[in-house]
Amino acid sequence: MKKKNVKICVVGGGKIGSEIAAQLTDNGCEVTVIDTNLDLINKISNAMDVICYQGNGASLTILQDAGAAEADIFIAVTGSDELNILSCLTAHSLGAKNTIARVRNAEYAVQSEFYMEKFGLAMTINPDFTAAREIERLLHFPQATKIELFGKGRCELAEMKIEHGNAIIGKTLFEINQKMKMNILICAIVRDKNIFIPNGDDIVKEGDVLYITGSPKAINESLEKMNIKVRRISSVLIAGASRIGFYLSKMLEKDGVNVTVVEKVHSKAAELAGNVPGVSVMCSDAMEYFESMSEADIKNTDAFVTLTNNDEYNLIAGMLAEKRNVYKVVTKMNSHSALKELQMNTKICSVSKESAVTDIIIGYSRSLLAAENFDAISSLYRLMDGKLEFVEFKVTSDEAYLGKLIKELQVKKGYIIASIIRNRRLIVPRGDDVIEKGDSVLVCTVNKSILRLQDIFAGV
Amino acid sequence: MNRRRVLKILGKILMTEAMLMVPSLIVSLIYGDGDAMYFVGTIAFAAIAGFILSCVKAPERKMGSRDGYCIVALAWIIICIIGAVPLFLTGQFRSYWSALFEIVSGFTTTGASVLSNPEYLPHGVLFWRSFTHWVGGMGVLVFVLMIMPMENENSMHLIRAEVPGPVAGKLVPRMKKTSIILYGIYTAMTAILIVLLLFGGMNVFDAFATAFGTAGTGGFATSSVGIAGYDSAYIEIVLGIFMLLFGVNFNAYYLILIKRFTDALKIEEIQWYFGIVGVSVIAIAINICHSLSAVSVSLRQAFFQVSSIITTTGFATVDFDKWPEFSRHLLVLLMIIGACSGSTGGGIKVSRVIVMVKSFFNEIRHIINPSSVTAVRTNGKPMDKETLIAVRVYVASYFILICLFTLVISLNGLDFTTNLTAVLSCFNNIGPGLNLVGPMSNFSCYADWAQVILSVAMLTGRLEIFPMFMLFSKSVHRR
Repeated sequence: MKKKNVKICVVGGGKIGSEIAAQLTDNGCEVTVIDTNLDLINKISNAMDVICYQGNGASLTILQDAGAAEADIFIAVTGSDELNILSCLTAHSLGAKNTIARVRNAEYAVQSEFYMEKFGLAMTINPDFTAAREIERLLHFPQATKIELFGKGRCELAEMKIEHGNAIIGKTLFEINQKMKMNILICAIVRDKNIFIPNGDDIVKEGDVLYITGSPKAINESLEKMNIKVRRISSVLIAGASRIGFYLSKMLEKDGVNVTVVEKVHSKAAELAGNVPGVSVMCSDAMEYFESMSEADIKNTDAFVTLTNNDEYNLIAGMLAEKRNVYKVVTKMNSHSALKELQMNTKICSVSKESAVTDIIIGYSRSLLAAENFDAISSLYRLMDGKLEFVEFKVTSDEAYLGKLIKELQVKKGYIIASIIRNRRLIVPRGDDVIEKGDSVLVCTVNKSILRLQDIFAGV
Repeated sequence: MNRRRVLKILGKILMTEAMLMVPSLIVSLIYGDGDAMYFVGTIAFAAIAGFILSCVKAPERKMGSRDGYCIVALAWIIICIIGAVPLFLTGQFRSYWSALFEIVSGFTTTGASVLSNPEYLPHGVLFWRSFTHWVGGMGVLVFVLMIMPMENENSMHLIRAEVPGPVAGKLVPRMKKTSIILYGIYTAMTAILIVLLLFGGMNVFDAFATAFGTAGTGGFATSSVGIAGYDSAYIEIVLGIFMLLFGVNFNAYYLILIKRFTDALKIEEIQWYFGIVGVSVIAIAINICHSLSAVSVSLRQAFFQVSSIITTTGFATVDFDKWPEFSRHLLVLLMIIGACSGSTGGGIKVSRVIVMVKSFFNEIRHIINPSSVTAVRTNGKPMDKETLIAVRVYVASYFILICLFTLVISLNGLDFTTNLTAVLSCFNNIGPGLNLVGPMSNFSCYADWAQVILSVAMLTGRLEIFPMFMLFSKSVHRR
């Protein structure tokens, strides 16, 4: 297969823009970045193999110079929603094929359907909303450090750390499956910072981080067998009435969770209180507020989520909460922050707006790459800075591998079939299962950039 | 600086050089002058050493600008050291250092020779000497980037250090594709030139060698008489035009290639470049016409010499050292100005001259009216402050280094004009100077040590000063 070069044009070289540019370049796309800020431009052109233009991303001459007309994907992620939408409109009329705008103002965000229909936008992305949803999922399933749903919620992927006392320590994967009767699949193990795809003879050790797939029910049952107590989150303290805070409190409030938001700036606090009824809003410094809480109050707080715009503050407040034995702590943090090192030895989960959005866009561009004649990639999820990928394929065409036993197909090293969804039912794939037409297949891999499902089989 | 990474890339460069010698080996086999063994030995050595080095495990950390500059400087040094071996083995050079001078002169597209009769060299070596012009013109690293896989390497730093001019830009997002486009344009233009030269009655070998010398704006001749030996107006005009074309910023050709003709013509640097050429040709033609038979002859001579000097090629059809003082001085000025940035030529580069001229007038305006705020604009856009500072520092360092090199060379005992023009000629990668190093003489008048100093001057000039001096910076040697 001749690899088609996908041309990408990114307007806005901030945190999200540069992250997208870096990831897409690594994925083999040809990337052009436009930004008004010369310092950012210099930084990006020094750091990665992209071409940069200085100027306004909505200006015709700049867009023509930058070749926006030939772009397969045009992404506008500047700080201004209006500029993003205008840039996309301009690029679209010049001939850019798919345009994506970052729209984070809640009032505009609800009109995203309208933008797609009338303005020809392919998609609008709202990093704050995406991140808030990720946090919401984490709070639903607090035993995991990360959680993602595939196949319309039928398959769950959980990242979890194996701590002292877990019943599966010292057992091989084969024993876990056969003797403990857990209907789940351990797709990948991170041990000593190395990630690998295990086979049946590998033994789970204390301190491992496991990536597990299975139906939500099976995963919950397995947790009980592992001696992990399941605790429902019913009361959440949120630090910072940022945009994520707004979306998250709204979601949690809808789920019936008791939400308290602490915000230092009065106007912001008042705005949130006005927009999200049913949430109690405190105007105070989050750490001070936390200090002033009584032991009983802290005990009753199931989760502490720090979402201020200051990553350092978020982490320190989170660490403080962890020290006070708050059950679940989530912080917002840039995925490339040096703070990650500090977070390593804690149980704190971190969520990054940048990587959440980048995953969406990379999944989108990958599916464009694979679009012709091949099984479409319906979703993609990247973990460990992209070292581990979960790719969901929809099998629509007749391929040689259909109907053969998986053990005969000889899945290549570095890949594992994590789940198959057939007729709205989840199958945890074992050697005697087959792939059929119409299936949705989730593949877990440590090898980057798979485009076609058939590439993972050695036996076809 | 990460030594392992540097070693790995140097390994790749050595392998590339081994590959680059293959055409010369073929030529030597065709002519059978007995120099094939020199190439076989050098190629084997370079390939094996390169292969061993390229197996070094390099860390994944991204390459910084410091690493980029050092790699470029070391790459050029090592490629010259190895490249000089076949020349030295012929025994035509009085020492290895002379052979080194000759090949540095080749790779840096200087074209200054220490041989009075290059035709005594075997054909393979003669071909290699000219071929180095072709490779050195567009850049060794650009070539390496084109053919070698470079994962995880941030090649922008390499290009910035190697491509001449104040701002190095890419044509397309991918560096690799950019280098392929550049070499594509370059190869196509060279091929056209070869065909045109063959039409003009040149033999095949000379057509290739001369085209390489022109494309890289180098200037090695295949015989002691050089281009003058053909005495053909056709060849002189074709070469004159092509020298000028190779002195043009290659971005312009890319713009033409993607059919943006007006944008290509609007590049300010190119307008100035042709302006300077036009004025100089007319001035020199008037200045020399009284001693010549016809105006057309003086125009033809002036055009060829001006085109050869401003593009820093260094071919000569007449002994311009015998020209009137005004013309000689004007040529020295053109030597300093040089060709366009992003071309294969040397010198300060027209774009920097433009910036300096504009800054000069801005400064006058500022003195007259201290509260005036000015900006240097090129191509209709104001230049950013950092580029401006870099240009000024470059020009200042340029003149200081010219003085220093001249001072050091003076220990060899030759006269001032010879020393100054020799340094200018080497530093700007031209070839001939005036007096003892004039177009009809050569650099053998300098002692071995002085030739090594001049080789350093050539490399410093080709890589635009900073990469070479980075090697001596303390922080570079820290791990």
